[in-house]
Amino acid sequence: MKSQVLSNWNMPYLSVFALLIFVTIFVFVLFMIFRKGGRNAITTAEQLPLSEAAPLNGRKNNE
Amino acid sequence: MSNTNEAMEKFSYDDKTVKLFAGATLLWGVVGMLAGILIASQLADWRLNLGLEWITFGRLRPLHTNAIIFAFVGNSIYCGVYYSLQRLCKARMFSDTLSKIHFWGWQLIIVAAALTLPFGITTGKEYAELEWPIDIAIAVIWVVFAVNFFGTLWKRREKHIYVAIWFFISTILTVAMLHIVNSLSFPVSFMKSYPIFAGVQDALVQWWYGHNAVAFFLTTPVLGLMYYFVPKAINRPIYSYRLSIVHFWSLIFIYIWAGPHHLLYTALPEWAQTLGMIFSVMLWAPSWGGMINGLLTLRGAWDRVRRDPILKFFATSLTFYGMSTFEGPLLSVKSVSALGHYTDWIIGHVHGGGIGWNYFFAAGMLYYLIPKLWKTEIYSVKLGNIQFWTGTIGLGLYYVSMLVAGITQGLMWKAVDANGALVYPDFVETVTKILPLYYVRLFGGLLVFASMIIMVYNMIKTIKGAPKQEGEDVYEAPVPTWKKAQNPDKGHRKLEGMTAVFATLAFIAVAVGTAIEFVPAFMSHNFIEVSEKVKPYTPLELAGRDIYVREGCYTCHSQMIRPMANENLRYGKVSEATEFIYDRPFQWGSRRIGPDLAREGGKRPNFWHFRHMIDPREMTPGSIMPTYEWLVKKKTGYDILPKKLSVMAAMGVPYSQDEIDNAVANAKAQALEITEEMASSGVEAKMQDKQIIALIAYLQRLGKDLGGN
Repeated sequence: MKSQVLSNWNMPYLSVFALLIFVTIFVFVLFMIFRKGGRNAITTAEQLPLSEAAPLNGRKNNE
Repeated sequence: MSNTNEAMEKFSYDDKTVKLFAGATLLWGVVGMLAGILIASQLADWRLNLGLEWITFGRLRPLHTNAIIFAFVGNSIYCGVYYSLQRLCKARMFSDTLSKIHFWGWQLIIVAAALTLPFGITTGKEYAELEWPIDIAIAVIWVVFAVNFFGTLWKRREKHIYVAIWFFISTILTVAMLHIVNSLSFPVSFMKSYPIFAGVQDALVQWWYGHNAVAFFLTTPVLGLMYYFVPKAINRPIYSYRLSIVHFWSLIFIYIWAGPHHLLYTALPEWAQTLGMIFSVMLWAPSWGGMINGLLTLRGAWDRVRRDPILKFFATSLTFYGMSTFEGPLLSVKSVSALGHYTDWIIGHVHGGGIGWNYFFAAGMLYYLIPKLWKTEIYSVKLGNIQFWTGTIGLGLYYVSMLVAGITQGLMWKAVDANGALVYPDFVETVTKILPLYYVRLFGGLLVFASMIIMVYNMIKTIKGAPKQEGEDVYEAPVPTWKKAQNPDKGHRKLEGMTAVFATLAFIAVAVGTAIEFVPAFMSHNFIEVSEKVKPYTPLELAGRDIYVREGCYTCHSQMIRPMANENLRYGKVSEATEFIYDRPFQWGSRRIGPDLAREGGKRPNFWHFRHMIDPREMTPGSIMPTYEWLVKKKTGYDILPKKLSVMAAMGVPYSQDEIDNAVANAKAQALEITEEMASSGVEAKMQDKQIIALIAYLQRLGKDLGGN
């Protein structure tokens, strides 16, 4: 009997709960990234890999 | 560009460590792929096992997977992380000493794996086969890496942490959690332990780990590298930074739930299987969000993709990432899994990801990095292109052959005639049918290996032709005054300046799924009926089980009969959760190159097993199983049995003190009984102390507790 319960131990509320958490976070993130005035911040952030510090010509740290 | 009024600081990067990791990537890539070639050839022709225990398929397959995942891809990740992190933070790594400890410590761990796995020192849990002392070393070195990583973030000069770093943060935190939880075990000796979880719980924890090793070791760090190196290679920003934010949070939140899709139709509770399936299908969306973001960064520059090996590798890598992350959710749908699971389709799927996504991305990254690090040009662009096409054609052959082999074998297993009987009742028929495809796979693998050799040659020539370098370049960046100022940013941008808060939220995102899946599973002892019929293994059976684990039998044989008519017909009664409560580790397996063994007990005489181990083809013509002749030469380790039983007892297995004290005598008595039973067939009495008898004892016990077939 108990082994039958185990194999059919259905917990649908877990999936629903998980889905709700996900949707909440998803919507929250959407609000955060599409908030007004956020465009400049996005432009700056996406340039980060392209705006690295440049080497000082010919300078070595053992000089 | 800095403001002229800003105070500037001078600093240099630690590129020596990056170079070391680049070299290690090339070295272990060759070793890992060579092991792959060897085991692929053994499947095509069993004689290539050479009768040597150290290089049999069961022992080498874990070496191949560990070498590729942790040695080859691991070193490539560290290489990319050390390079990109310093530049994105405009700061040198936190500690050169920690960098050295990280590099050499990781290489020592790889060497330890290479020295233990061929000797059968294994936990028997896929991708987590290394024994407890090495597990502890991995945890220590990972902490060293984490301290060095977060220390660098702490001393950074750039306020905002770029999306690549978010993926690195989630990797470091989640891999630590996965490794520690899945490695929890009780040592028996210096190189032997039993996991603290058993049966269904062990399966759930293992595949939570196994799946997320793919997610958080083979995927998230590489995605982080993609967000850095693809824009750098093409010199333009990522297609959509906004999409990257949605991509990151939804990916790490959803990924952690998907582990149970490896256990569909098993004795795992139905709700956990459904949860794993739903989240796996949901995973498709964020995965493709990342792929699209990467590919669209290349928009308008496809002419360069045609000429430049770096972009060629990146574009193909992203394409294979897209293919794998479509196929993964597809295979997670229960009805598709019913056909594909335990077949070569899964092998094709993982190699589509492993070669197409990980190897090709590492190749693109190295083609970008090595000339930059050594301040030179690549030795031969032409060789780069030859490598690309050799690898791509090889992967195509590999993937298609495994897909065809998998679907062919899956359909043959399922085929039932009008009278309800199996069309292919002999399992070996379903193996010999796909053997030609194993040769195609071997050829494809050889091409991939050749492409790796071409890259190594090209890189060595590039480095040799580079001008001699002395000292490190000096860079300058504004003094980070923002550390003391108030943070005026809002929304996600504000979060990007707060490392500790960001890391905490990322950890919560992965912990939610873990908790919801684990807590009820760990309470499952309230629901599992501990049937009086299910008994702990006898000392000899336990010794035999450890031999089964040592030889890596789980790499070819499953121990899980799924609730399907054809499996019921072929193997017997469907497996139940309660049957595995004393299984440490669980041995459900993930591939059936040989038949399922869940109800092997009592199906065949002892002598059949005895002869089968010495020469499988004598009992099963056409079998591709290696010979295990050393099992009739090596003695069973009786002396350690009381210790093994006492460790099991400490973890809740109901062995009495009397059983522990008399473990050796009981084991010898059972061994004598089995040997005497085979005496009429010519088996000598001296065999009773040999390992083959212990293995027979274990095999004859399998699945009999609930009445066998």
